[in-house]
Amino acid sequence: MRKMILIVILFSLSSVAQEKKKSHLDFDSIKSVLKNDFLTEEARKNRKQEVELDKAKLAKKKGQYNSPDRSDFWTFFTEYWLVKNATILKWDFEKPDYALDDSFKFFLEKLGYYEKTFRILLVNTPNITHFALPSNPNEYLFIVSVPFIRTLDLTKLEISLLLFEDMLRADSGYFVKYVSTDDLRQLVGKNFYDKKKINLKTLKNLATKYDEIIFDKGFNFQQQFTITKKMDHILKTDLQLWNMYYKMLQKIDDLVKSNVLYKKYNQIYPSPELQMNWLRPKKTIQ
Amino acid sequence: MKKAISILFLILLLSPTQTVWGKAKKDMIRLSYFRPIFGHVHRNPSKYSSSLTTISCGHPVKVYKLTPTKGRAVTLFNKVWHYVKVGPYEGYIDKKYLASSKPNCFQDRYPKFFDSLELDLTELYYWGRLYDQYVFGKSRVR
Repeated sequence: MRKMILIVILFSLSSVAQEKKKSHLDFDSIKSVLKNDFLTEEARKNRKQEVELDKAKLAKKKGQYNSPDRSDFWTFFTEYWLVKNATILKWDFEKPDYALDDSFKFFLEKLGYYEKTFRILLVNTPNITHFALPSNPNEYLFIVSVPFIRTLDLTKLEISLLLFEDMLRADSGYFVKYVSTDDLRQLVGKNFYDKKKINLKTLKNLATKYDEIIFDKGFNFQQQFTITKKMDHILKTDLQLWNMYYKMLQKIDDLVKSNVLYKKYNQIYPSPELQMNWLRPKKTIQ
Repeated sequence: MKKAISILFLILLLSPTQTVWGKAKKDMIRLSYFRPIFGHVHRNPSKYSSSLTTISCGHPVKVYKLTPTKGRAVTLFNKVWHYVKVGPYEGYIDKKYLASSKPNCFQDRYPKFFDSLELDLTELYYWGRLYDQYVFGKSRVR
């Protein structure tokens, strides 16, 4: 009997001790302590910071896969095309300083075209005569053939007129419109993180389109008519310039009719003869 | 042959770089950064002079002032060229291609796009030459 009583007492004591132990591990009481110490708040903040950091890391990683947008793409790609065609275009050569930067700058200012940034690349080939290549907004990138200006014996002012005509073409966006494809629109200004690689075929096709318009197709009659009429309209404010433009077209017309090296000119810029016709004032019958 | 060698030796001996600037005192005046996408460090202060090395946008460039043994210190050669050190190379870079702070380079903004073009060394060289050959201009502000 005594033994039994002893066991019961021991059992009850151990249960009390266990209960006491339980109360030591009572999470609610710890929680309240943590709450009072702002530790849970701190932990929540840390977790949030970690999530934000991970998000920022991912965004940075994704950002590395951005394709240049329209404001960055055109000058870059035109330069890429120039580099790829360096041996054909022969622009890496020594030549005298024609001071085209100053002459074209003054020409633009005279006509009221301010804050126009331009770069000119002289090429040592008759395969290309003059062109405004696609470039970033508010920038112009011209190529001019030295053999062409030498054969025609063009003055600085005449070269400026040629460049200005090209500038109007660039403003009209004919070149960019011709070379832009749906594939290109899918690339420019987009992110290719999911694909991991850009489709190089798109850029290859774009370079082919550049070749096409520069060496083969050029501009159509409607585009030429629009540009010639614009030139007419702008230059009429200065008759000396207008006359110079007309005479320059005459010079080019004579050249393309007599020199086989420039027989393709009419295909690219149709045509100096037509341009002169469009410029000539209409005779009125009395 | 001997004559040609002696003429060449005489030219080298009398060239201004050797006589005036060869022994000039070089003081670094600032650290600049290369601005265009690619470019060259030239052997002489001329865009047609040979390239010592091709550098890319954002590359740090040490700009020096040269003081000859006789005469005044020079920071610009032919009005536009800075004497610079880039790594082990000492040459000349056009002042318009140097920025005082690190530029926002195309290669840094679109790294994966740029890498995927896989440009070879010749293309990098030509891209740098492009910036030697450009004629830049801007019409004034109204």
